[in-house]
Amino acid sequence: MNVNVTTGNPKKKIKISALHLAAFVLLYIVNLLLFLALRGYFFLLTGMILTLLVPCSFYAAWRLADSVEGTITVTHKTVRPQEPVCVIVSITNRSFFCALHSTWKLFIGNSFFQTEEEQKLLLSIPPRGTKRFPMTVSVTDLGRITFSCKEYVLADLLGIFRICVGCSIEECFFVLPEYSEAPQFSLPEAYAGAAELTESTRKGNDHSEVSDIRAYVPGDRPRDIHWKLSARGQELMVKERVSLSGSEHVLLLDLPGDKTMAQKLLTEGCLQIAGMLQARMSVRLLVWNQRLYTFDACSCGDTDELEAALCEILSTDLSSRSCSGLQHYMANCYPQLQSYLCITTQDDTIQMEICTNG
Amino acid sequence: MAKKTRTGKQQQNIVLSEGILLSDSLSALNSANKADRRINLLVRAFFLFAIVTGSLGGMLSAFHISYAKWAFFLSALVAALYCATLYASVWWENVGYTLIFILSLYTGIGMRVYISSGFYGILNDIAAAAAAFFEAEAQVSYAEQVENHYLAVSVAMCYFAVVGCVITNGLISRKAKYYSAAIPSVCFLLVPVYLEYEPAAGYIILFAAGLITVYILRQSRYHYHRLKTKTLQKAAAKHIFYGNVSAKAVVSALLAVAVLCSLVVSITSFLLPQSVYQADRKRSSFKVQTMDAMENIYLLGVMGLINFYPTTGGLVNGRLGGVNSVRLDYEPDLTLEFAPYTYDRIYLKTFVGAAYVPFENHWSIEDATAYTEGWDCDTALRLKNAFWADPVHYAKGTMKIKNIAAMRGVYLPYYSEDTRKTIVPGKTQVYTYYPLLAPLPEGNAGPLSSDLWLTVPEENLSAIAAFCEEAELAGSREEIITGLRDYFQNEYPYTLSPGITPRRKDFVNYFLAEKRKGYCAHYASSAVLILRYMGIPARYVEGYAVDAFEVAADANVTDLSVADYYEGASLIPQNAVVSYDASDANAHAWVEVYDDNLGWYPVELTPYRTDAEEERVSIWDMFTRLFQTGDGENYAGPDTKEQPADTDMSGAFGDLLHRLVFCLMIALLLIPVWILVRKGRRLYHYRRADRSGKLLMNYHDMIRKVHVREQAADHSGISMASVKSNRLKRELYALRSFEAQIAWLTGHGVLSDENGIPEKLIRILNKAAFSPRELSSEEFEEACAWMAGW
Repeated sequence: MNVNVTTGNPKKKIKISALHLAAFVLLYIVNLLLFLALRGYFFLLTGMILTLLVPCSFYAAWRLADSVEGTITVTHKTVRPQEPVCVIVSITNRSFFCALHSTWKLFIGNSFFQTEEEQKLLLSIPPRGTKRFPMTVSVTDLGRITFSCKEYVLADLLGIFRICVGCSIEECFFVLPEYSEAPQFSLPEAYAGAAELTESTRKGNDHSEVSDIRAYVPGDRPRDIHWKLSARGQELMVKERVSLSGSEHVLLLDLPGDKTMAQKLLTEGCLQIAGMLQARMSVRLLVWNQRLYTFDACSCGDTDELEAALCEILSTDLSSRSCSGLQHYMANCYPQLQSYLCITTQDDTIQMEICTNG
Repeated sequence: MAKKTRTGKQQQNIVLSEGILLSDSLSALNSANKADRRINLLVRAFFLFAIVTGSLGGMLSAFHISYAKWAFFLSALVAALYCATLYASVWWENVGYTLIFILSLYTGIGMRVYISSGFYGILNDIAAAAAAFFEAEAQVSYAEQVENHYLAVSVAMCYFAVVGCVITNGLISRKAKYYSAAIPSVCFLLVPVYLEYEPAAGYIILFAAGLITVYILRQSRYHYHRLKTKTLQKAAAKHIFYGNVSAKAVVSALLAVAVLCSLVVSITSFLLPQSVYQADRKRSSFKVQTMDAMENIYLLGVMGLINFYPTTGGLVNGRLGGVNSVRLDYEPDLTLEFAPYTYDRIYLKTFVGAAYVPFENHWSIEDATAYTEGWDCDTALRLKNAFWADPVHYAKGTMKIKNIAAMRGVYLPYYSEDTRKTIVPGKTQVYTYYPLLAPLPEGNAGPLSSDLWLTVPEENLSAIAAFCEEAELAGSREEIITGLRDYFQNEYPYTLSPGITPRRKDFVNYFLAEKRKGYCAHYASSAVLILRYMGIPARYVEGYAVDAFEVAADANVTDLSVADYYEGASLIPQNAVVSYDASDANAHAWVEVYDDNLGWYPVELTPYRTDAEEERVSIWDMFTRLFQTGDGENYAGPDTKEQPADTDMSGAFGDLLHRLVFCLMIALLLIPVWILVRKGRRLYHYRRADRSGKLLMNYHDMIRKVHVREQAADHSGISMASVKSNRLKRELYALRSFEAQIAWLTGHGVLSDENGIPEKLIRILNKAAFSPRELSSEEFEEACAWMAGW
């Protein structure tokens, strides 16, 4: 049972460990009784040492708490399932004080599937040095794996006082599907040319989509000015557009809510895209984003862009990625599209189909 | 998911979160690099060194015992370093411990003369300090075989440093059990502190720094040099991962504590020097109250604490049977100032027992009449009258008795009228007595008014009758008394360690029929009942008895005038008044027999102490004799080459045999203790374990107890089942994974292969062993039910 004492500094909190306090008090009382019983100089000295030990120990821990800094690093930012990756928790101490016992509350989880578990690392902190705690982990699921630490607790040498310090340390890496053995991709004949759109200058027939919003620079077309946003701010803002026309093929990933199927779909989609990339086709990947209530679009011209796109997809949790009735939204968002490729699940199988827009 | 470790055991990856596995083994996470491990071991060596030298050296420094300190420190340092390295690896731990054990044993036997002599030398020095503190007149002294005290103590201290390091190492280096190390260490330092001797400051710093740092290590959960995989797995199941301890951090903590201790000791010594503190120190009430008990322990040893109640030479106003062993302190209880007048024993009567209470085992004065009769002074009156009438043949003496440490009471010499003169401790009384040196003048003391003095309890009748028949007691009063005395002398040896009378047994019956040995209280109590049975009025008396030869040897002659202390006839020439200190060695119980002419007179029926009794030794003495080569007093030192010419080989062989038997008995005693401890530990762990742990423990028990049935008959037709079964069992034990063991059990028909039980069992066992999640109660019960069917 701990006694909480909050200090003026909101980031530091002192807890007293009743168990350790009781152990020390017992030791102290035994020494005191021996001193009272025997009046020995020896017990007088040990009593004084024990008395001074507590404030000294607390002071050291208190000072140490100000000079400790933790970091988490990973050796690879992207890995494949079952591929080992080394996560290093490093604690740097700039002071001469030390602690033999510090607890680092690590939250480890997959943000894509919204899973998280708290683990505790018990580490000693050497004076003026760095303590590293490397862990090799392997991940079975796809996703964005996060290692974060929100609080660490420093115990003084006697273990009586626990100084809780809030912190915000986070590191992540992505577990992406394996696509090195992608099958050869051939575009269905029915689909040939369907996705190749012609850009029109006519209003209402714009085949481009807004990729970004930036400040107006001379030369921008007036039609691109974001009037609503400009009216709110001090300067003119323009919508930067990316054309959906040309040789890009639109591929919609219809991610299901089920974890296993979503992973299968992602893997299949990745293989298809990789096959398309091998066939020198450019792909525009569309994935639903419930938070923004629109599609996230990523261009995949090569494998690097593909990996970046996958990372972006995995950065948002699966529940925000899955949605029913995506065709309806596609028709609303991309009315100019005649048809597009869609990878979806049907009866527990993954299949790619050509969808006619609208 | 699962992988093989170096030991061949299967290890499952730890799940950090859903789908995220820890690939490293837990021990790999916890293991430090080589440099860190070396420093950690060295630090632990320092702990050992600090605690052992701080406690042992501190104690000797307090008593100012001189010895070669450099040798002591060096041997402690070497031993500590050696002991700390024992945990570098498992094989070295086993080999290293065996080596140090053999080395210690070999050195201990080879140097036993020096070690035992040094040990006794230290004890003698401590005893001298204790005697000075207690202001005791007696001092415990042990024979030192080696004349060179300095050398012997140095050798002994070196040896104790090594042994201390080895013993402490098991407590400190392995689990940092600071309390286990602290208790004996503090006990070493308690002795001088109690006796108001203080250890030197340096030793205090060493001791405090070592012990506090170990305490810190323990509180920081780094008490293990290397955490066991099982512990790490348990912690991981609770989502806790241990990193290795930073050697730099431990060293820093140690230095910080050492600096703090040094500062505190230095500043305190500067502000309040030890000499000033000691000069102003007042004794605490605790010390004042316990000094007597401590002095008793100092003089009598621990055995003094075993007795049920405080005794004076084993006698406590008629209470019997509660004294295991009479331990004499030889401290003066009474100081007698008198003029010796006889060669006979002088008795001082302080308690008279009239009625014996069987099974409650005590003597009592039943009522006022008995009390009056018990302390009658009729004979004294007649002798007084005789003295006044005839001072040539009769006498009158005066005895001044000072109660030093005896119980409050009357200490009445024979024969005196001063039956009301009670002496409390610290006070003095003067008794006038009229010794019986000539036949009493005519006049009958008269028959006794009460049957009390002839009463024998019914419970004792059968035992006494059997004894009288066995001893063939018959004849006149004198013949019976003489016969009884002789029989006791021959058949009932005297001992100061008769043992406690068992509960629900009568003291007299137990002595006469079973124990057949005892001290004065046993003989006097039994003799009173026997004499009563034979029709002779008798009663039980306690007090002090002083022999003439003791007076001649130990009494101090005073300048006092003999005329003031003695008048009339005397059996020895009247030269001086003496002062004699009667101790508990003079405490005695005897019998008074009633004579119609004389009245009550003392009769001595306690046998003389034999030589065998003098040789009585304690267990400690028996143990220490293992390290002695000969009689300490006759030993001429290590340089003496001569051995007794008449060395009896059969005696040496017998001695060896006795020692072997002694060791065997100790070993036999230890085996059940060991078994009980193991069972207790198992039960303790089983109760604390979760379902997974319990299942695994049950499984290991079942595997150990499994009976392998031999299916095939051998060709010769002779049953080889048992031999075969042992071989098969060994085969089973060699299998390391659950899959292999269950397959083996299924293959040998121990486990039935129905309904897929083996697969389910393997799954549950694997889950129990490797999964951080606990088994469900259904799984646990299911698995237990399957195993129960084996």
